[in-house]
Amino acid sequence: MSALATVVGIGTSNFGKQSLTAQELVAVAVAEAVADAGVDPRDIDAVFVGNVFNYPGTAYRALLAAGFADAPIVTVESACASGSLAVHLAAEAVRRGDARLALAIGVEKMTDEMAGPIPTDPHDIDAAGGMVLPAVYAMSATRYMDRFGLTPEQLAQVSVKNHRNALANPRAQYRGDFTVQQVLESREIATPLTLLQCSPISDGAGAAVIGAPDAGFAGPTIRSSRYLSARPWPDTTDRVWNFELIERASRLALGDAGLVHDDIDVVELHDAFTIGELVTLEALGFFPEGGAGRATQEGQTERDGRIPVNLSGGLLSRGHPLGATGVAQLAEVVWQLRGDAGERQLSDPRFGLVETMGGNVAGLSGNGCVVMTLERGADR
Amino acid sequence: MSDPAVGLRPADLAVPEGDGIAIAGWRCENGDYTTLAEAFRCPWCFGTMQAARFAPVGRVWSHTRVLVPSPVRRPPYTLAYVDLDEGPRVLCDVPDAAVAALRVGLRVRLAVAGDLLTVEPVAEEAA
Repeated sequence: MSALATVVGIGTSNFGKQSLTAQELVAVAVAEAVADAGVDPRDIDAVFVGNVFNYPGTAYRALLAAGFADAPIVTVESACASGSLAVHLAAEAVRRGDARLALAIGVEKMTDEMAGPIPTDPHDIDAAGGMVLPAVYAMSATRYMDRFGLTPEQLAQVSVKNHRNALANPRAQYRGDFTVQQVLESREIATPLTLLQCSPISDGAGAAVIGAPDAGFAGPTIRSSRYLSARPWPDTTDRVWNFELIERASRLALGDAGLVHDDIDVVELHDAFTIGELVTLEALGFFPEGGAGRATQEGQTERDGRIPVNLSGGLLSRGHPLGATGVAQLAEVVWQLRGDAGERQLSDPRFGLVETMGGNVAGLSGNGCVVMTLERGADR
Repeated sequence: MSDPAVGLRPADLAVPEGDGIAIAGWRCENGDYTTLAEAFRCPWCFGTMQAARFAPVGRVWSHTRVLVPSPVRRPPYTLAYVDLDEGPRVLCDVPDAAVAALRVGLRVRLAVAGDLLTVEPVAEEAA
């Protein structure tokens, strides 16, 4: 089947609390991506930027400083999925022929804006009752423990795995060789979630040069990409928050690509909190509902397991600069498919999957979700 | 970004009903879709949403004890999502006295405590 687009070049900043401004973060990521692509930046026809919290105009200011002035710039927001939505729109633009080369950027300078947990939307009644993001996910965790017998140790194993994966990622915000007990004994945030089960406040940026299909570009290809918004939640099922949205996007993306789960060699998914990785693995269809905790405990999502998940360290350890996260996830899968992932490199992966879930408007099962599949593509 | 001054108070969802309270919200004219947030059209069928009142009894869907601050509350505090028998899911505070009994599926009645909606466990037959 034909691809939507080719990822011609990729770049990211480091992740974590940084002295760099949003403009500087973007400049670092764009410079790496353009150099990696080996294209003339003046040939880029359109720019899509994912950003959530920063001041209006941040994208234009950052692109000007990074050397882009006349290509049309579109800023998009879908909470944590903003960066992957920018990639999705760039891929659609080149597929439609609106652009031969497009640039997708994600950026977030969070440490200037907030400390502590990300609040929920103050326009929702839940925020007035004290709801914060960790508590939203904690509600899912408590429900999963009651319904499926998920254990605290299984939850903690997600954190152990992702922090250990990040040991091999020099761009990661945090890394460490923790035990399950250490994860469980870290500071309680919203029961049953502890500090090491929560993604950090981060600064960072990512950039991807996206080329038109069949235009002779080399590099991994985006084989399918779906962006969906959520249906009302709760619904008539007993699914936890986010499940139905991820499940729908995943079915469509895998169907478009003509792939089944066994084809996928590497996954980067939205582990903002440990329970998020487990729910997402099930909603994506890699494990039956209620089965991801045990599978994680058995090592099935480890680097040498049945399906390696979040080799970058994921949001939990690489960091979670909201608007940048989707592009950072794409970067890890691209590096893996190109054989450029250094100490994290898998043996000969052919297909990868990226999933990013964004938003927490009360009454919706999330705001938006991107699921994207990639294939190794022509050697560069 | 984290502006708590948008004027929302969970307690404002409670309206007088007989000797107690009801929870005010919205119900689709055509079906079962209910919500607490102001709504004009049903997202399932585009039917007209009508103001509705719901009996303040239901079951705990899930719960968590929060140990980090929110823009409007100091920790620690305990939250529960309660599925009302007549429809919507409501975020409630759980007073310390009720925490020991708290579990998924617990039968509760909603009450007003200051700016918040709170829960008190009730016997199965009482609800």
